[in-house]
Amino acid sequence: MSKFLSSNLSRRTVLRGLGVSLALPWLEATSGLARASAVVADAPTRMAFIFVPNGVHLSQWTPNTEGYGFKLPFILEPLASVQDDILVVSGLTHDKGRANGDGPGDHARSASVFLTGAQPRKTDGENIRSGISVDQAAAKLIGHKTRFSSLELGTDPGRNAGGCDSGYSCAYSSNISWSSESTPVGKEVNPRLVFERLFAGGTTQDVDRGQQQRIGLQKSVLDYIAEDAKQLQKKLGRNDNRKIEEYLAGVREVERRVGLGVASRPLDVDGDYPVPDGIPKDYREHIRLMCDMMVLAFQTDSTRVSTMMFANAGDNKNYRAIGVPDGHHDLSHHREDPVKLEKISKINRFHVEQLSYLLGKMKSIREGERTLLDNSMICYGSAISDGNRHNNENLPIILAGSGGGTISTGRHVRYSTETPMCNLFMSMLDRMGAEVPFIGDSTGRLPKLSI
Amino acid sequence: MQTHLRFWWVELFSKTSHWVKTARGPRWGLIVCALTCNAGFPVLVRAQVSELSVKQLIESLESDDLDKRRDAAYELTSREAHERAAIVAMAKALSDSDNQVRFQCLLALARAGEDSEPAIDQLIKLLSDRDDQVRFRAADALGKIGPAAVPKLVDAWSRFSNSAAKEAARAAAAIGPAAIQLLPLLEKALDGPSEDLGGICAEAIVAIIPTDQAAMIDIAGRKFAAVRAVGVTALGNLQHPSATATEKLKAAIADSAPAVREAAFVALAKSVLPADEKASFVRKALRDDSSSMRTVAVVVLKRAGLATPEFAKSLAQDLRIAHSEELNSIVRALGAIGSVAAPVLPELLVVADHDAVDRDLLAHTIANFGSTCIPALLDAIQADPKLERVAAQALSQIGEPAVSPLMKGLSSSSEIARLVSVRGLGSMPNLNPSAIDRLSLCLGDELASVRTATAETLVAGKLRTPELDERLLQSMSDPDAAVRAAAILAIPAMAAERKSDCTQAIDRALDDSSEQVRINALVALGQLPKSLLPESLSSRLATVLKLAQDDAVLVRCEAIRVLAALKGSAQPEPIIDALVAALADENELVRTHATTTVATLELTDERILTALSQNLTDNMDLLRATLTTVVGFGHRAEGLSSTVAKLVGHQQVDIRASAIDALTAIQPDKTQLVQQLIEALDDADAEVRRVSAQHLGELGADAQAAVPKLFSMLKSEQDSDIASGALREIDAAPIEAIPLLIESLGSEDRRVNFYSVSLLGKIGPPAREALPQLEKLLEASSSSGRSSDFRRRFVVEAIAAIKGQ
Repeated sequence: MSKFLSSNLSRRTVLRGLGVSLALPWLEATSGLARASAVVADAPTRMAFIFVPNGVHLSQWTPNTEGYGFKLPFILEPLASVQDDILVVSGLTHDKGRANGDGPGDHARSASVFLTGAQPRKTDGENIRSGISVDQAAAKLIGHKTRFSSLELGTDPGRNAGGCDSGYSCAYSSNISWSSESTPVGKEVNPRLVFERLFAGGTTQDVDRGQQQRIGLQKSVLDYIAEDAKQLQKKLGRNDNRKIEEYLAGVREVERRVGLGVASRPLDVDGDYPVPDGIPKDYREHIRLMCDMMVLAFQTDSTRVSTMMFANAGDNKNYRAIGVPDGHHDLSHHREDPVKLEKISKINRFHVEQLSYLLGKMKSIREGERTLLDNSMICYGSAISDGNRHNNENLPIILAGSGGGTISTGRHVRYSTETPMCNLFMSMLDRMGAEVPFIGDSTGRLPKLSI
Repeated sequence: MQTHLRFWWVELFSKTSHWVKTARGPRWGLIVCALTCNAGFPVLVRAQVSELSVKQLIESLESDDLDKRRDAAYELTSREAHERAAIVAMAKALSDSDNQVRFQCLLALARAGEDSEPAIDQLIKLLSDRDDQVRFRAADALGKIGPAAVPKLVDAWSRFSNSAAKEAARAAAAIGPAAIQLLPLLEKALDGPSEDLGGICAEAIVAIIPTDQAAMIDIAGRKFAAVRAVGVTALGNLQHPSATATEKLKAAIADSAPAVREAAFVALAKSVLPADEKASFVRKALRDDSSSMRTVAVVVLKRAGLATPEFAKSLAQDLRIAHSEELNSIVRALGAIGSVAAPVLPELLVVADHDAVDRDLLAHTIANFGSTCIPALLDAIQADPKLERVAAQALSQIGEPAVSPLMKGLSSSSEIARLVSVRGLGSMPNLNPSAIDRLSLCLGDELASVRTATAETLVAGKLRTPELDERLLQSMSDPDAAVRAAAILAIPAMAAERKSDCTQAIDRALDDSSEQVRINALVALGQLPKSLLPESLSSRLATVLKLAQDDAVLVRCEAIRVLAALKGSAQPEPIIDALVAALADENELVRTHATTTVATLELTDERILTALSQNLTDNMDLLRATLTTVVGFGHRAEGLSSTVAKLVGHQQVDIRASAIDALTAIQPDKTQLVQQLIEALDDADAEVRRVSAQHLGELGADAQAAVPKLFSMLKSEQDSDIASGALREIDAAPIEAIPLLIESLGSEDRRVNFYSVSLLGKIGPPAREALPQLEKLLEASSSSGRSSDFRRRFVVEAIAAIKGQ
């Protein structure tokens, strides 16, 4: 077991044990205690994108007024506690999600275009073509600064072969991250595997041995870094010690949930992809665990870029747990039926509740004078506006977090019709220090993000 | 999750695979990829298209093969520098029949910037395109071409429609100072013809002359609010505003339009005005009519350096005179000021009773004052018990520092102090086990109000320990009904571990004399874990069915609702009897619940159908539920078709649409149904037309009679998609439609044209009189060279089908 000796903590400091490597959260000791301004400057900006399928019930999503002080509509009500930290963005368009001569397949297009802004080639063969996604553009430019250049998460297994939607490859429906125009980056859907990846350290043999030992003895990763943690805490101030305790408690809680969340979920999600151990049977818990992983990864600066698919494009799972036994996709074709609209609004609201959970967690983590949420940009939404119409303009988008104080949140902003969604990505990339000449079909940066 | 290294490998692997598979077949692809990756060194591999020269790409751009044209357009977009020949080719391709080729060339031309000068004429033409996206992209490209586009924009300006002028103005804004020639035209548009055009022109003017304060002051005084807001914002962005500019901003704070006031306020808050002057603006803004303006005031308060005890005091004075929503804005502002505003807590609590004050916001503001306000808050609740919930909420949000005083409050002799302490502690996140244990002792408090609050709080907070579960079980037998009602809701959380105790408790509660306890017992029963629910419900079926006839309406509703949980299990006769009775209940709410339960259980008993037929009444909720439910009966509900058909003319849109759904399901006479659906295609509401068209489509060839009507809808911009979808599904036409289809062959609308060809082909030999025109079409499409292969294929197929080949 390594000893923690240095009194000058670096951001790279980690707590180590056999096969375990626990990165530290942001601490005053790692950022220079003296000046608040230095503290703020030291905290990095993070960026995440969350995809929800099938569009939303727009009239229950869009606030009636623009600017500050808008009343949250039914679907967005769960965001009340973080209303000051979000920007509701209306009017953006993903033109490349439209058919543009390729006929049906809106769902597949909606996922592939979400972060790429590129028209996917209509094929269910191997000659797939989309474009590099905004997260991967950032990962390529700033990924070297962190242990993982990016973290791709999801809840539904995906396939990269075969056709999934009217002649489109499943690669389009199952992925939102693309490292090149022909290469989707697969997502991880098993929280336990993400946890192991985040906290694995040492040689491959150490990792394997440590993992087997921990599982066999039912021990926590924290048991393996206890000695290092004790040494570290002796050197820290009161605030940092409290922060470390909260952080370790958070890690233990997530670890417990990953361990106890195991269930033999029926293999009904996708016959080709049996659900492995470690995936909670409760969908809500599954999303929340993945959100927790994202928070841990951001909190420890293990990565600054992440994506998450709450479900794959065109997903048709039911939401019995919230009283909606019908399939999501089926309901999205609601034809203005009030009963169906009520149900689809419930599903949309359920997803927003999970976003609220993520944002609440990020807001509870302090980084100097700001919070982890302040230092992040979480872009949530869908590349289909209204699931009934399958249109790709006026997309439902929320940008949460102020990007290190560069975005004036708490507002509803409306852009003129046809403003490319990719212009938002350009503005986000700038704030990440990952400037690129263009992304997808961008025409420039988005104005009005700060007042 | 991957590292940089993985990118390199992934790209290499993928490109290698793609290239080899294309060139040598899939098996070679696998072999070469394996070799490449095992070798561990980079091999430069490029896909075929990216190896083409610009000349070859230009040739491909003019190909008849759509895939080739698209690939060429995508590849040209990714090239960094462009030869003139490529620009000219892309400009020509702006009139390609394929959207992807057009849009990709628009994108490429924009990215080529000033090199795209040869495309200016075509781009200006596209500013008037009917597609919003094309106009937007054309303006973007013109803006990026820069000064060279300006003279032609000036020449074309007088011919622009409102929408084209807006895009031209956007292009001018992107060009900036070099677009000075456009200035007079833009200025002229500031006051009309439309406000949105004026606003965009104002933005363009500011971009062209960004330091001209006189121009900004002029814009800030114009007719339209959107225009004035641009002028005011521009003045606010000036580094060194003149005295006149500052005065203009001050005047704008009283503008009639909220957007203008807001822009002026933000500008003034950022300015170097003295603090007292800023304070005056913020106080005024907090009482503005516009909620956005009031919220901006809260947001910029700190930025304006006003988070001080003095300013908090002045806001406390405003609390006395403010009305309704203004109060909430001031409360919010005090919260934004934070702990230095704590001394004004007494003034703040005075407004707690005000109807307009948001209690959650008030609690949040008090919590923001921090731990120093705890003693004052505890004193205040003694004087005014109505503050109980707000104080408890605030204290729970204050968190750790409030735990000790609240624990002490649990033993207080004052009822209100105990209530606040129970609610405050119970709502605290991460409460430690010893505090939970102490809190649960309050379930034995002498006062029923405290016991009720404790049970409610513990259940809502989902707090669990074995001791707590035990005490909650005891509370389910409390002498006070409110306590029993609150405690019984803890059953779902503890049922798995305390099955036997919970069973007894729920049985007692279902038989309780209190209506609320019986309701909550039914709610708890319905919320039991899925592993326990069916068994628990089945074994209590007799009791639940009895409660379905309870004297209390809400008990009956809840009992009926719980029955829906039996979906998937066998439904014994008594359930059907109960539902039939509930469907005829004197209360419409019970009848609606019963209808929904019937739908969930997918019951199709004749008696239920008869009972449902009585519920096609004037009550909208009941009507909706009934229409949805009769769908499940299919043709067995035929007897209701005339009643349902009448509802297709109902005044409410959603009822009309639901009636069409129901009619489609229950009407066995297809001819009559098609006729009814065709009539509904004339409905004033688009949704009803869409539902009807969709059902016609589902009927397939049986709905041929609808083809003429659907053809007429094809020509309507609003209904074109609806009709197209139905025609695609029907995929057949009656012989009587032949003249209409032949006539439509000459239509310029591509959709009309396509369906005419396709349906004539489906009719086959009887449509032989269409052959001359079809052959003409074939000839025309062959000679056009670049026209769609797709269309030609359909004409060929139609001719073959008519000729019987």
